Amino acid sequence: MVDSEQPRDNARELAEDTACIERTKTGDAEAFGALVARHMRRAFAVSYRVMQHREDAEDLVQEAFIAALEAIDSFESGRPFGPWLHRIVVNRGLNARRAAKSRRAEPLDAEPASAASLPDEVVLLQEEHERLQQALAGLPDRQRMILELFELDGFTSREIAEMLGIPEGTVRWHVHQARKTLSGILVPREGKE
Amino acid sequence: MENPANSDLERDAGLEKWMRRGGDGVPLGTVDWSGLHGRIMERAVRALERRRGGEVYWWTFVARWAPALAPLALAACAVLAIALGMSRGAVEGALLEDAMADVRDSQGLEQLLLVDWADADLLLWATVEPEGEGR
Repeated sequence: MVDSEQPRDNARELAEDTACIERTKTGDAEAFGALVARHMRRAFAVSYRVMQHREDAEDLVQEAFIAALEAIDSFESGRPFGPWLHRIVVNRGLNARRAAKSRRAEPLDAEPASAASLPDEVVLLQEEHERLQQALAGLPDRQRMILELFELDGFTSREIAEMLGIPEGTVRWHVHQARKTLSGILVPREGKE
Repeated sequence: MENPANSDLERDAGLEKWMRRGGDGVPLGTVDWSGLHGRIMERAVRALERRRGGEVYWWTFVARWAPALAPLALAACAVLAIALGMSRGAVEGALLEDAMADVRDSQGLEQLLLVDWADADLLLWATVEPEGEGR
């Protein structure tokens, strides 16, 4: 999972979100602040998967919360806020990516250590990481994003379907296709180890 | 013989392990959360103030009331059209009656050739012959 937050689908949290949304509609800054605090980490996780860049992901989270606030009257009270917000994040993020494709994934380490100075285990892990990143980069953008959200961040296929506005079956198909593609690249070498 | 379903499951489990080991996690630890929260709230101030001031955009109003107002507007148009049609018919009928009565009273009507209903103005052409002049 992306963090220690539990999925926000239980009744108490839904009720709290609903109350915050109703108060936000009247201009209550404290209620909106609570909503932001509760949802920004997960929104950031989604945003990062779309943008592949930390600062861009932060900017996108800001944009998405402001867009959500502007459109809060159209939000159907009593529904979970998270999927709605994530959909805004994804839509805006994909638009932004289309508009500017120049900034790409930032490297994990600012200054990678040289292989010679590292223990064998770490070198192997680094190699695995690089191979996986290359394999992921070969996937179509949307498929990569779906796979990462599903495999790494623990979003369910239903949550991803809501975010992207596509059927759940399509999400599962993308996951299946991505796994198939990756297995062709990664597993043969994995078998040799 | 190997069951393809089993090999799929094994493949998926292997990939999952791979991804968790080699995949980039979301860099949650590098984000200044209170700073991000503050920036969002700073930008939200104006929108929240507008809400407190009760400022409502016209499109928000239209969007909210459109489902109720559209059928009402249609019904109102229909009633208006019917009312206008009926009153116009009544007015034109009365005008025609008046015109015919005037002609009969003054000179006598031999033959009504044409009554044009095309406009609100009633056009009436009548051939009038003096009484006693037969064909």
